[in-house]
Amino acid sequence: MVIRVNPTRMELLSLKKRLVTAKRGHKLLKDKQDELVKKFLDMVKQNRALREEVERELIDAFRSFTMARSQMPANVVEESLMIPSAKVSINVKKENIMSVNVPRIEISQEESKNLYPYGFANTSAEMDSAIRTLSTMLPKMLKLAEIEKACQLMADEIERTRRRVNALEYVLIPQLENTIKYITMKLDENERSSRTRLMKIKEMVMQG
Amino acid sequence: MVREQEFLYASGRIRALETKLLSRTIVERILEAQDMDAVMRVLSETDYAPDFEELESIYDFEKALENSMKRTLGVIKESLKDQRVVRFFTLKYDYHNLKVVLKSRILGVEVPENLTTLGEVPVEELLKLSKGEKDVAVPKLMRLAFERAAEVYEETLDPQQVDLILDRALYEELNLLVQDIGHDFLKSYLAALVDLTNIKTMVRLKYMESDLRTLKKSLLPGGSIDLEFFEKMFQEPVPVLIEALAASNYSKVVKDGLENWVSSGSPAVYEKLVDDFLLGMLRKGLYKPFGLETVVGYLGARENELKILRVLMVGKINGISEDMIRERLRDVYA
Repeated sequence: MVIRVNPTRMELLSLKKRLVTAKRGHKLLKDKQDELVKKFLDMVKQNRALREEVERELIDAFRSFTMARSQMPANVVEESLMIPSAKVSINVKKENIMSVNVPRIEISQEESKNLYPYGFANTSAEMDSAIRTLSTMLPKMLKLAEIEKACQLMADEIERTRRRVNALEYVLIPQLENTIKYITMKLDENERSSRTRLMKIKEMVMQG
Repeated sequence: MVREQEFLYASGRIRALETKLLSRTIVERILEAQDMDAVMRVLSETDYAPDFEELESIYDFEKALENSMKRTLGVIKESLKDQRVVRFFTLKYDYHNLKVVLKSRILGVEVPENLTTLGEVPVEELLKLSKGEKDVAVPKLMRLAFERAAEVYEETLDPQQVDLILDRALYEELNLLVQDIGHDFLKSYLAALVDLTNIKTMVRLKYMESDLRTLKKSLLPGGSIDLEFFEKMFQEPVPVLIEALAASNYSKVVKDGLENWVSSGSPAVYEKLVDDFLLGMLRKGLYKPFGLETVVGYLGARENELKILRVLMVGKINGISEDMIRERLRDVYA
C-alpha cells in the first residue's frame, strides 16, 4: 500500500524523516516488549508458586476450621466469632514497572492484644489453630492479589505494545518505504521524461 | 440435699429412653455411609427420624439436633418435681443467649439465628435487658454478669472479655446450683468438668503465648485442682504438667491427650478423651436402679450423642476422611 501524497521532493523529505522516526520507535517498543515479557514471565512464575502455596494452606485452614466447627454447635461458633478482635487496614499504592502502574498493597495490622475473640469454656481448642492459620493467610492472600493484578496489567500492556510494534513493523514502515519508493520512482520518471523532452527539443532546434 | 426417691418416676422413664440412644452400630453405619442420603436412611431408623424429616435441607441439621434435645429436656422436666438437675444442663444455653444478646447490642445488629431455644430464660426478656429496661424477668446473677460484661467491654473493647466474664459467671452459678442440690455425684462431675477444661484452657493459652493475667481470667472456679497449680504450671513445658498430674484421676486423659496434642499439634484427641472420661463418670447412672445419677447420666449422654452426630454430619457433609472423623468420635453411653 502506498500513502496518497503528492510525489514531490518536499514530501519525499518529510516521509524519509517519518520513516527514521518510525524505525526508531519500533526499535524502542520492541525493546520494551522484550523487557516486559521477561519481567512478566518472572512474575507469572512467582504468581504460580504463591498461588499454589496459598491454595494449599487455605485447604488446610478450611479443613481445620471445619473440624473445629464439628466440635461445637453452629450457634456457638457464630457467637464466638461475632465480634472480631484483630483489625487490619490496607493501603493500596501504585508502583511503576516499565510504565505499567501495578498496585502495591500495604497491610498494617493493628498491634492487637489478642487474636482470639472468644472464651475458652465452651469452645473447642481446634478453633485456635484454625484462627491462627487464617490470620497468617491474610498477608499472603493480599500479596497474591497484588501479584495477580500486576500480571493482568502487565499482560494488557504487553498486548498493547505488541499491537503497536506490529502496526509499525507490518503497516506503517512498509507503507512509508513503499511511498518513498513510489515518489522516488515518480521523480526519476519525471526527470527522465523531462530529459528526453529536452533532447527532443534540442534535436528539433538543430534540424530547424 | 435431694432425696433419691424423687427420681423414681423419671428414672423409670429414662430406662425406656436409654434404649433409644444411638448404639455403636448405628454410629458405625453413619460413618460408613456413602452419601448424605444413606446417612438420612440410617437416621430415619432412629429416634431422630421426626426431627430430620422436617428439615428442608440437610445443612440445617443443627435445628434437628436442637429440637430433639428440646424434646428430651421437656420429657425430663415433666417427670421431675425438682427441676434443678435439668437446670444444671440448661444454664449454659441461657448464658450463650446472654452472650449473643450482648454482642448483638455491641455490634448494633440482630442475629436471631445465633440464639438457642434451649435456654429457660425467655429471649424477649434478655433483649429487654440489653435495651436497658429495668423491669425484666432475668435472674439476678445473670443480670449482674451481663452488666459487668458490658462494662468491661466498654473499657477494653476486647470481645474476649465478654466471653470470659460470662463463662466465669456461668460456672459460678453452676457451682452454686450444685451446692444447692448437694449431691456428691454432681459435685464430682462438675469438678472434673472444670478441671479438665482448665487444663485445656491452660495449654491453649500456652500455645497462644498469652500471659498470666489472661490465664487467671480464663480459669473456671469449682475444680478440684487449685488455681495456683495452673499459675505455677503455666511457666513450665507441657511434659512437666503431665508429670504433675500423673497421680490424679485424670492421669490417663492428660497423658494420652496432651502427648498427642504436643506431637501432632491437634487438640482433637485430648478433647475426645475428656468427653469420654466425663461420659465414663456419667455411666454410673446406667447401672444405678434409680436416682439423680440416672437423670444426669441420661442428659449427659444425650449431649454426648449430639456431639457425635455433629462430628458425623459435619464430616459427612464436607467429605472429611473417615480417619479424621473417627479420631474425634466420642464413645457412646450405653
